Order: sequence, then C-alpha cells, then structure tokens
Amino acid sequence: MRAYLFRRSLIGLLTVLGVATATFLLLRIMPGDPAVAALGDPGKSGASMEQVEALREQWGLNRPLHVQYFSWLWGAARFDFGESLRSRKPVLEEYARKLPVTASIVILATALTLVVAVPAGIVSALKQDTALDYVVRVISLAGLSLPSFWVAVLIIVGLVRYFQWLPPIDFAPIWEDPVRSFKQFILPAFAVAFATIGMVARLTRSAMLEVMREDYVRTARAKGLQERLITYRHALRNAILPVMTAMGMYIGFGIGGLIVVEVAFNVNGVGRYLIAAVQRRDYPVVEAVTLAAAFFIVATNILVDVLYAFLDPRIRYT
Amino acid sequence: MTTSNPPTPQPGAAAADGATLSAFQERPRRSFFYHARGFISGKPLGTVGLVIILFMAFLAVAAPLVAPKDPNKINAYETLEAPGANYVLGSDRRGRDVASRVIYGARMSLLVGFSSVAIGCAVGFLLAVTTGYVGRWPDMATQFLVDVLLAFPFLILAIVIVAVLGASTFNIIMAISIGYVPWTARIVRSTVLTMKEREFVTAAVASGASQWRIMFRHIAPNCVAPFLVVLTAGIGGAIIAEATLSFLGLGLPPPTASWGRDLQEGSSRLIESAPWLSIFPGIAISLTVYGFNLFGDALRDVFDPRLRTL
Amino acid sequence: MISRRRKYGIWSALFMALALGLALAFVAACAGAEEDADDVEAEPEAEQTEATAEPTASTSESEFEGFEEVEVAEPDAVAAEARLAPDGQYGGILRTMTGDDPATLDYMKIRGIGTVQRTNPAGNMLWRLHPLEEGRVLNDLVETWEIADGGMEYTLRLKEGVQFHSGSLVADRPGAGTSLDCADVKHTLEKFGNPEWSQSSNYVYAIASIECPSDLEVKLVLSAPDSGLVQKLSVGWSAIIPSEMPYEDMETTVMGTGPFIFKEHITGEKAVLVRNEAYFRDGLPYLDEYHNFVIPDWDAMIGIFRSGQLDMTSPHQGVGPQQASVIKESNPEVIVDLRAKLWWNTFGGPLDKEPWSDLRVRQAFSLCLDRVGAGEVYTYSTNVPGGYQPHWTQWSLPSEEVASLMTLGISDQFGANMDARRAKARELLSDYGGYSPDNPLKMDFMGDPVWSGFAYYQDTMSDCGFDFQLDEVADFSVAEQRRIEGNFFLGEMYGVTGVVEPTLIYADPFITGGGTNMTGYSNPELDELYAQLVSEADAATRVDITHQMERILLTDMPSVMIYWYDEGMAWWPWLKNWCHCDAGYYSILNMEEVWIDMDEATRLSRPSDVASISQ
Repeated sequence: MRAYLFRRSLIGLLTVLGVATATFLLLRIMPGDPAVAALGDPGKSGASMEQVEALREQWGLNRPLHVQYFSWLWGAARFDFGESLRSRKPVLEEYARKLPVTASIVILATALTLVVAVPAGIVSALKQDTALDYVVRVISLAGLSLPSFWVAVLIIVGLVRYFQWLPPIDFAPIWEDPVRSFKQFILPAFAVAFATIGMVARLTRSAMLEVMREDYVRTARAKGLQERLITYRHALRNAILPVMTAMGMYIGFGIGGLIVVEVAFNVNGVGRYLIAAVQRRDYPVVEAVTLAAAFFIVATNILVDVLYAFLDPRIRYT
Repeated sequence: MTTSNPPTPQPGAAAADGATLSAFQERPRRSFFYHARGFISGKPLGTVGLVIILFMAFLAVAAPLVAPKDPNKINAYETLEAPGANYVLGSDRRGRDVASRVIYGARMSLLVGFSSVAIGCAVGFLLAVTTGYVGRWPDMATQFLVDVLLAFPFLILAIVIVAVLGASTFNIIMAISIGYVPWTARIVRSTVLTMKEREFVTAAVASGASQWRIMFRHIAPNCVAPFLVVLTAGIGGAIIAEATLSFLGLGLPPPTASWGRDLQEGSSRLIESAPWLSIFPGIAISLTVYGFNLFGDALRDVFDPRLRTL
Repeated sequence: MISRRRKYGIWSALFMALALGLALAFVAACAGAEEDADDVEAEPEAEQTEATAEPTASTSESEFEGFEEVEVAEPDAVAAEARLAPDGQYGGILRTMTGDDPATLDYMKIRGIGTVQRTNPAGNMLWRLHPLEEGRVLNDLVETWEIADGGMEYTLRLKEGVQFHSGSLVADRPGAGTSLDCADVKHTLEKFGNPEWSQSSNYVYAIASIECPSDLEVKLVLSAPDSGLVQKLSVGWSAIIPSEMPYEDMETTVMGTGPFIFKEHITGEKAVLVRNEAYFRDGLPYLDEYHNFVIPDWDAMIGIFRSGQLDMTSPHQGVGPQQASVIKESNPEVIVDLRAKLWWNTFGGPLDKEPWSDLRVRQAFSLCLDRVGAGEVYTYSTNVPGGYQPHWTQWSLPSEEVASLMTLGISDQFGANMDARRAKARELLSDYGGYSPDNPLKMDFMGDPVWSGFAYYQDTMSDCGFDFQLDEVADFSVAEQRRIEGNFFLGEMYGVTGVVEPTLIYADPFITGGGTNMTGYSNPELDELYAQLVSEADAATRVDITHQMERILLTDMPSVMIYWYDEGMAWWPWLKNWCHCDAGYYSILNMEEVWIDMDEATRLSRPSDVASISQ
C-alpha cells in the first residue's frame, strides 16, 4: 500500500508538472501581451510603445523562454508563484483569500450531489420502471441538458424578481458565521450541482442495477435476507464504488461550472479570479491557478483510490 | 444501424471516421429498415432523441428554406418586438428575427458540437489504437498525456486557449475538442488491450500481417462501438461548452447566429424586459442536448452495455 | 417492457411540453412588461423629471456663465445649500459598485469612473463643481483666489489647517499627517500636467509655471489665457497629494485630505474607505464607511442592487430606460434617474490617407448614415441625435441646422429624405472615382457588444456604394498596428456630460495631437478657433466660436453619429442627500454630505420591512 501510494503520488506530481509546463508554454507561445493588457485601454490612455517595453522589461517577459520557465519553476517549488501583474500582490496571498470561497461552494455542491443524487439513483434503481424511476431519469437527464450559467441566471432572476433577495455579497467564512455562509453559498452550489446531480444519479442507478444482478445479491436473496438488508449491506456498498471514482473525475468537470456560476453570482472565488486573469493576460495568476486546480484534481483522485481500498477489501494495492 | 447512416447527418462525419467506418462495413449487410425497426421498437427513448437530432439537423441544413427572415438583417426600426404575427419569436435588440436566428443557430451549434467532438474523439481514438497496440513507451507516454489532460480542467483549458488565441470558430472547435481526447483515449485503450489478447489478433500476427494492418484492419473496427458512444454522448457536452464560452465573452464571432451566443446576448440586461431573446435559444440548446443524451444512452445500450458507467 | 419504455417516452414528452409551456407563460407575462416599457419610452421626459424632482430641482436649464463671471460661493453657504438639515441622521456604511477594476489606483493615469469612484472620496481638489448649477465652481481647498494680468496669472490662497490623512491606517504612507501647503499643490499639478504621469495633461497645458510665494499661497503662471482652467481643475482627476508622496506610489495607495481615508483595495473585489475623523470640514462626513464593490457582470449588479445590498448603482452608468422600467416595476420606491449622456462613434483611421483624405468621401459617409436608424440600433430610440455640444445648451446649433449641415442641405431633419441623401452620396463617391468596390475599405472594430451597430453601418453604407470589410481586432495594439497599415478603426466614445464647457468636448478628439485623437484629424482652421475659444472671455463670442467649430466638424468629419442618450443610475430612498448631478463627478467627491437613513440591521433584514421604512 505504501509503495503504491508513493508511486501514485510520484506520477501525480509528474502530472501536475506536466499541466504546469503546458500552461506555461501555452501562455508564452500564444499571442497577446500582458503589458498591453495592463496599461488599460491605450486608446484612451495613450500608452506609448516605450511604456509597454518598459513594463515587459520590468516583468521579465523579454528574457529567453527557458530562463523564464526555470525561474518560475524554481519559484513554484518554494510556493512562490510571483506577483500578480495586475495587483502587484503575491499570487499566493490572493489565492489563499479566494480559496475558502471556492472551497465552500465545492464542498456544499459535493454534499448536495451526494445527498440528492445517490438516494435518487438508488430509489430509481429499486423502483425500476415505475413512475418514480421515470421522473428521476427524466430530471437527471435534464440536469445534463441545461448549461450551468443558464441555471444560475434563472435562479438569480427568480430570486430578485419574486423575493428581492440575493445571497450576501461579502464573504463570510463558515467558521465565523455558518448561517450566513450557508445562505451565501447554497444557491451557487446548487447551480454547480445541478449538472453533477444528474450525472451521479444516473450513475448510481446503473451501478445499482448492475450490482443487483450479481450472484452475491441473488445468493443473499436466496438466503431469505430482508430486502432492505440486501439493499444496504450488499448492493449499496458495492454500487457506491464506481460512483466514488466518478465523483473524483467530476471535480474537474465541476470546476468549469464553478467559473460561470461565480461570475453569474458575483462570488469572489478562484473561478472569477482566473477569468479576470485570463482576460488581462495575468500570466503568474493563470499559471498558479491551473497548477493548483491540477493539484486538487490529482489529489482527489489519489484520495478516492485510497478510500476505495478501505471500502473494498478485495482491492489490494501493491 | 448500418454504417451508411452515421448517427448525425453532418457532412463532416464521413471525413472524420471514414477510415474506421469502411472497415466496419465488412459485417453482413441487412437492410437499413431492418435495423431501424429494431432500434425504434427496442429503444423508444433513443428514437425520441434521434428524432430531435434529425429535426435540428434538418433545421440546420434547410435553414434558408425554413427561416422566415434573414437572421443577420438589422432592422433599425423594429427592435425588441415581442413575439407576434410579424416576428414569431420576437425580434432582438438589433431588430433581427429571433426565430430565424434560432434556426440558423442550429448550423453553428451543431457544427461546433459535432466537429469538436469528432476531432477530439478521432485523435483520442487513433492515439489509443496505435499506442495501445504497440505498448511499451509510446503507450506510457500516451497515458501520461491522458493523465495530464484529465488533470487540466476541461473548461479552463478551453478558456485559456480561446482567450489567448482569439474567439474564432476554428479556435473554439479546437479548444473544445482537446477535452475529448483523453476520455476517448482512455476508453478505447482498454478495449484495445482486451482485443490484443484475442485469438483473431494472435492469428493475424502468426500469419505475418503487418502492425498497421493489425491495428486498423483487426483492432480498430472492434473499438468503433465505444468510440461512437463517446462521440454521441459528448456532442451535448460540447454544445453546452460552446454556450458557456459565449457566456464568458469567448463565444463565436459575430454576426454568426449560434444558440450559445444568442442566449448570452439575450440574457444579458434584457432577460426581464425581453425574455424571448434568451428563452428560445435556451430551449433550443436544452432540447438538442437532451436529444443527444437520449440517443447516446440508447446507442450505449445497443453497442456496449458495459460502458454504462461512463 | 416496451409499453413501459413508451411510458418513459411520454414522461419525457410531458417534461419538454411543461418546459415549453413555462417558457411561453414567462414570455407572455413579460410581454406585458414590455408594453409597460413602451409606455415609459414614450415619455422619457416625464419619467426623468418625476424621478429627479426630489433631490435636484434645476439642472439642465441653467446656463453657463462667462469666464469672468464664475461664481464662487463661500464654503459654508455651499454646505447649507447642497444638503438637507443634518440633524440626527444615521451615518452608516455606503455600498457602491463599479464594473471595471483598473490595474492602478492612480486616478491621473486611468481616469475611468472605476478609479474615480474608489479614490476620490479620499481627496480634495482645489475647486469642485457646483452640484446644481452648471458652470458654477465652488472652492474646495482654495480659500480665495484671483486672476490678474489678463487671465495670465492666478493667485490662490489655500485653506489653513488642512491636514493629510493621519492615524494607524496610513502610518506607512508618505506624507501622512502633514499640513497642506503650496508644495503639495505644486507636486500634484506637476504630475497632472505631465503626459507621462497623467491622462489629462492637456487640461493644464496652459500652465507655464507654478510658484510658491508662501506656504499657503500658490501662483499659477499661464502661457496663454485659458478660460476653462478652473473648471478643468474641478473635474475630479486632480485631487491633491502630499509632496512627500512619490508619483509611483499612487498606483497602489491613495493619500489625500478628503473626508474618507483609503483603507484597503482588494483587486477584483472591493475598496474600503473609512471616515476621516480629522476632516477639516467640521461635522463631515456623515458616513462611517464607504465600500466600493467590483461587479463586472451587469445583471449581477442590478440583481444585487435590487436585493438591497447596494445603495446605488454605478453613477451615470448602466441603467437605461428598459432597465429603469423593470426596476420600477418590482421596486417602485427605488429612485431611478436618467440623463442625457454624450455618446458618439468615432473613427480611428487615417483621415490624411486615401480615401478619407478626400472631403467627398467623408461627406458621402455622413450623408449615407441614417442617424435615427442607427440610434434605434444602438439605444432603442432613447436618444436625441445632435451635434457634439449638448443639444439643450446654447453651445449647440439648432437641430435643423445640424441635420442640414450633415446632409449638405438636403434635409433639415435627421433620418429624413434618405433616398435623396444616398443618391447624393453615390454621386459624390463616383465623382471621387478613386474608390473601387473591388478593394473594400477595411474597417476594424473592437469589442463585440457594439458589433451589430457596425454591421448596421456596413449594411447601410453598402446602399451608397461603400464596401466595408469588418474585422474584429483583439486588442488595441493590434488595432494600432492595422491603423498604421491604413485600416480604419471604429470605436465608440462616450462620456458623462461633465462640465458643459465646449473646450472639454473638443480638446481630446479633434484638436491636432489631442489625447484621444485617433483619426489623426488635423484642421488648422479648427485648431485656430479652438485657441480663440480657450482664451476668449466674452460669453457671447464663445458661443459664436463654438458654433463655427460645430459647423466645421459637422461638414468635415466623416460624421458618425453623435447622440445624447438617456442613461443613468438608481438608488434606494434611504440614501439621503445624494445628488445624481449633471456636473460630472461632483457627486462622488461630495460623498461627505451623504448619509444613510436606516440602521444597518434593518437594512440587511430586507425585504420584509423596506416598504414601510422607505416612505
């Protein structure tokens, strides 16, 4: 197990490095100049080419590519991601400010998904081909058919129009004011979770159906066990495994929804931070945020694998 | 289903999977109607999905015949008219006909959805078949690449690419397609690995067939099923991705009518005073994605029930 | 089994039908709203006066007084005039927003409203504009001032005992706690007048030197008379900084003498300013804190405002007639104020190169464009076509004359006789001859929201024989490059009416070498008139010169549309003494006189109590 974890982490680290390198190259090779972007709209400010050059010099953008790369990598290894070109504050400091916001949404969204989707999927499987099953299936498929931002926009319009209420705009950390924090993030989390609920419910349903057809369930039934016991002790425990793996993968998918939902709800999280950085060609921020995102995705997947081993005694990692 | 009828009647399809489909045709031919009847009776929901897709495809192809007006014609004196006799689905803030834009929008949305997925899946497919069969370091390299791409949040990658390269149709298709490479590669590779051990491959190796021949004559055709499933199921996601990019201001360049762009334009500032601007493109997107999802489900059941956990 | 699947199919169909039904119901419901919106549109004037009746009684009617008649009110009188009786009101936290988040806090470098909104409550300028009367200037940091030597020398006496911010918040900022003196003014104006450090350097081009006869005395020596100088120094980008403060510090921090101390700025999120207890005007400001949030998404901004979490929308921005009616419908107590705002499309092309160097081509362009139609496309008819000067002022030519000038006399109405105009345009173009449709004019534009407007140009222009190839460019550097290659650049320009001072409207875009003169337009005749206008003191002569300049521009530029269109802002009734004034950025500077008439807890427990309290 330990050897496996070590190997897995090593590969994970390499993967993150790969993502970092890809982002770095992507940003440098492609056109678009952060110095021009930073000087605002030079049509109005009348920035000269000299000013732009000076800024490039100051930010070290005119050094050779490999020099830039290794100095950045060396910095990243020490958790020094440089300064945001835009705010001139350390990226890490800004990121640390935004992370709890996004983490709150992710955690709530994941909880929502688990709480809604898994039971829905199970019920759907147990009551296969009943009206309930159809409703769950139709709705979960609809969840996959609506763009997240559209869900978010509809929620906002509905709230404002009929309740004249929107989540508080000032961030309240969960450890300081849980109620306010919940109020603030439950709706963005719902907009993010809308799609993942659909996916996970479908997945749970099919996994359950598959497991229910397995020999050991049939054996359990033959033994005369209570149906409820069969469901929870035998079927569910096995069906939940693929669901967990998929949840790990959906994190990456969910991040996409997260960005638009943060924009729509005006939540100052990592997603909005990234979008603003991309628009302004704020290289250090884009690099750091993608690196962190890759790190979290890889870490989640490793975590899921480890959990897998705990839940399923048949699996022995070596 | 016969291969003479690819799942979506987009012109790009034949080019994208021509290689694999020609191999597929070696199977005994039955009449198209035989398969069609089977599909309709066995998969009524999939049929509903197929009907939706075909309907949208029809709109896309026949847009000039179906659309009541020119979708790009600006009518300065008829802006923001509510749905009515003159404008069936209303007019937008530039006096363009929403109904016509929704109809023409099918072209762009289906084109982007289909071609990005087709390109992404084709690349992933080729990558997986070749390196999966060869094994050793090419396989490991591919797997690493797949890992990296999977760790790269799909939309972030698309956003960065489009923001940096500029929002042209081509760039958007490319940006979305990259997200489909790792998924396809991973799924196809597992099929390739099982195929590699099968007798008919061993027999082919024994008879001295070249590596390429084995790859594309024997293994690839057997991986077409998962490929098609990913493809169909993915188009819905790609259409949504296009809409999402539009929402972030990285959508298709004007004046092209596309659902994502129109939805974004319509929902910005005017969602309450002129809701028809966003509702109809929104319905078009949801309906089409719904159709692809239904059809994809059915296709998956037909081709490979094991892929259900996708 | 199959029947069950069919059942699923039926469910699915039912679901889609339901969705469709809901959507149609929504549309139907809102179609009703649209009719209401039409009502509002029909009577924009009525809506306006009704909404603004309370805080500002007279705005657009007032006339600009000549240069030597600039009235200066005594500070105490001003305070009494501009605000209500401030007894026992609650201070509160004011929450405002801004859409953009400029990279720098240097309000001289980036003079967008985003920067101004978050920095100006921290500063004072030498003068400021009277909130209610155009053309009237109030003393801010200046105690008394006089003009000598035929307008060539200004002597200002600064207020005594004015201190820059002090205290723990600003402990590490240079100049904290020092007293205002002439050196600070000199330091500030030198930055303001230096193009390297300031976007508005041309505002003070006339200042030749700044001298300090004594600590509290400032002497401005001009190289040429400039009748607009005092107004230009009142607009809001010249708040005084301490002489100890290096210019580059302005990028990241804000120092001043103003009513609020700049506490922090979190990029992309918000700026926070807190009350300056040691403010030199006793008893001011009323507010405890001033928060400025960054909300780039327009719909989010309106939503958050309507949820009561913002006290006002961005000043002068973002609320048009449609939105106003939506807000009014759901929140009748909200005050919505729309005002005419200057807006025009501008060319950034080489007017000195073919084909635009030929007057006939430029005139053909003007002739061909249907300004009423373009107004519909851009602003849904909530505008008045006009010349460059506000149509309700003496500076503007009569509407008939503007139309007639632009159409070479064919019509004295905008949007009329289009066929004759286009025929004339074609004639002019064929006269010119050098232009061939096989070689289309390349027209670049930036920013797709305005795209359809340009497409409308393309459409209508092709009727006259112009053939445009429209290209969207990614950023300004690209546009600049292509402009050098001979492409044309189309953009939009707009501004709040600000000071109704003709020189301010002409200076940047049309005068040779002006700050935003992207056309490279250079007309010696116009430059000459401009110089006259700047140094002329007599009001009637100034009007005359302005009219001459209007005539030149309207016939000589490929006149794109110029509109005065309605846009504005909304605020909640608990925000007291707020003046959405015409006079540019006065309102933001005047934050010291604003308060919130509702305590924090009640305000945040909305919406249940709001209706009763707001009345």
